[in-house]
Amino acid sequence: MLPFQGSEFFLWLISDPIVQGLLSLTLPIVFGTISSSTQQEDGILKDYYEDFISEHTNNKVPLSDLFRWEQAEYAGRAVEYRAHVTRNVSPMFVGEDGAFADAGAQGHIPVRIQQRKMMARIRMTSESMYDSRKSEGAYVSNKKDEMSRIVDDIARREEYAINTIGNGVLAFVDDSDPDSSATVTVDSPGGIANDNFGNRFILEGMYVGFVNPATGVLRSGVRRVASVSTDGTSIVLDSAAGSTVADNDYIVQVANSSVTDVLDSSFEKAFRGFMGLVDDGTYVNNYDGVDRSVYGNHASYVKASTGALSTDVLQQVSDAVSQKLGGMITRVVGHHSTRRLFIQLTDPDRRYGGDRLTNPDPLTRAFTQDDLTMGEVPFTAIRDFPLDVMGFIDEKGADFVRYGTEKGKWVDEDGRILIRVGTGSAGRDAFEAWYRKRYQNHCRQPAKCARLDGITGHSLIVVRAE
Amino acid sequence: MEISDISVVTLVNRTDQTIEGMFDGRVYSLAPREERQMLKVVAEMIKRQNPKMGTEDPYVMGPQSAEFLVGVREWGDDCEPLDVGDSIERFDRSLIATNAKVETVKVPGRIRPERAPRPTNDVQFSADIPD
Repeated sequence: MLPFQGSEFFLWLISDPIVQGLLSLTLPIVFGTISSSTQQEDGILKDYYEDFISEHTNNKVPLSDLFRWEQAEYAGRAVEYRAHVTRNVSPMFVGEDGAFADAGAQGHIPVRIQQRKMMARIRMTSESMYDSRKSEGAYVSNKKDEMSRIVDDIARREEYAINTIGNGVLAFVDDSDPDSSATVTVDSPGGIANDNFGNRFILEGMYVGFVNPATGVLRSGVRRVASVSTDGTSIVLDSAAGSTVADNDYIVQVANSSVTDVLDSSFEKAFRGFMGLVDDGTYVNNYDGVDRSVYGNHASYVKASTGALSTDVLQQVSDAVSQKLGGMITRVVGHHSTRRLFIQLTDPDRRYGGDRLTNPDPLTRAFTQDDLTMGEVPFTAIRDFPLDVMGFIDEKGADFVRYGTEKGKWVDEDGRILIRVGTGSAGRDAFEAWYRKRYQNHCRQPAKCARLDGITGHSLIVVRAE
Repeated sequence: MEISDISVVTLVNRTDQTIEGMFDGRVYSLAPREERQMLKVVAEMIKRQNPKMGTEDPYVMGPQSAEFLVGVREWGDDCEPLDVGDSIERFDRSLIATNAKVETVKVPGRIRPERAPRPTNDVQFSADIPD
């Protein structure tokens, strides 16, 4: 206690506003600042961790969800059924005692479907599993995270397959001199003719190989994808492509960096997709044993080089399907950019701004991603669908079937899902798990469906969502 | 690729541009004015995929419905040089316009007969709108 503290002089002195002002200015200089701040008290503060992981991958699989596959049994080498394709031509109008036609016969052909397989794999060290078990130590259990999210990743690759042909092609090389640089220009995403966004199905980190389209043989030189361009036109490899790689080679996924055989690639091993099921031979001529160039009953109506979309051409497709096998279109699918073309087609006739002129609504329900209709048939936008194609589906009549023995499960035939990695000197304190799917998609009546290829006039908006 | 019909034909690119076609998932390219022997089914597919835009008769379906940028010699197709054209759609719209019945319809409204008559030769739809 100071000697004059409590005296009248002291009380007068500290109550004087001028003295108080001088003290407030000089004390922090003499003794340093004395107020508390978060900066000063940082040692006692913690971070607050929210207990969720925000999802930033698009796991929607709209085309897979759209199909209602009839599940069918599979066993043996293949599933085979017979298709009736030609009539007995003997029925003939004749005169009295006139000759009539020789006997004819019904024509049947075999259709033979073989399963295809998808495998996925996770690998975790014991530390990553055990150290992430408690919420105090990790946002989520590593084991749970890896084992649940791989199922989403598998679904994404299935969505790619079902939107494309089913031959496992990711894109074509679109480069006259592809071995000159690590950057390779690509086109025809999914193997479907188109100059735009060739890399849309290629992911950074994938190992890719190049298949000679004339022979189906893998060219030498497997590469890893270092990055993909945002404009969709190119991929950057870890080194320049092999010297034998040529323009229009197929780019396919391969298992690892040491692959030399096409057997270890995805080429011709993917599940059949829409562009292979509903086709006229453009992409799949040998359709499960049926030569589409001979048996038109297994070929869909495909109008190539459609150009500008019009209501006439849309009606023509429906008419062709109806005449061919009595098909009736119940669903139309296309990329979002194609749907915008369809919206533009209707613009001149949508003259009134909704039901309230004080709040005119110039858009359609496509803005909330609802289906528009075309002759009362829903038009569904599918993000992975080919960019310049419209698909016309007879959902009931086309008979979409999925033959398979394994819808999807963790491999556990030896009684274990997690297996130790390696033995002896190759042994590691880590565990692997494998996931397996085996089936094949098939459309028994592809001629009841149709396609418009080569639609033009788009302003393409293709947004990559991993 | 397993194809039943292995007969070969001569496909001719009638244009001064490279023509591409797709068969069984494989791209086939023909240089300007190139003639090439190829399987009949492949030639047929390339032909079907390369119509001259703006020449298709909307009332006809099939290979006779349009002009094509390629021709098959053995089938007697026209293989003379051809310009690719600049139409943006397959249909020949002039055929639609020729066949369509055009009718002039006058919409009743605030008609003021003292005004000069409106042209009707090119107008299909007219309404009397005040200035």
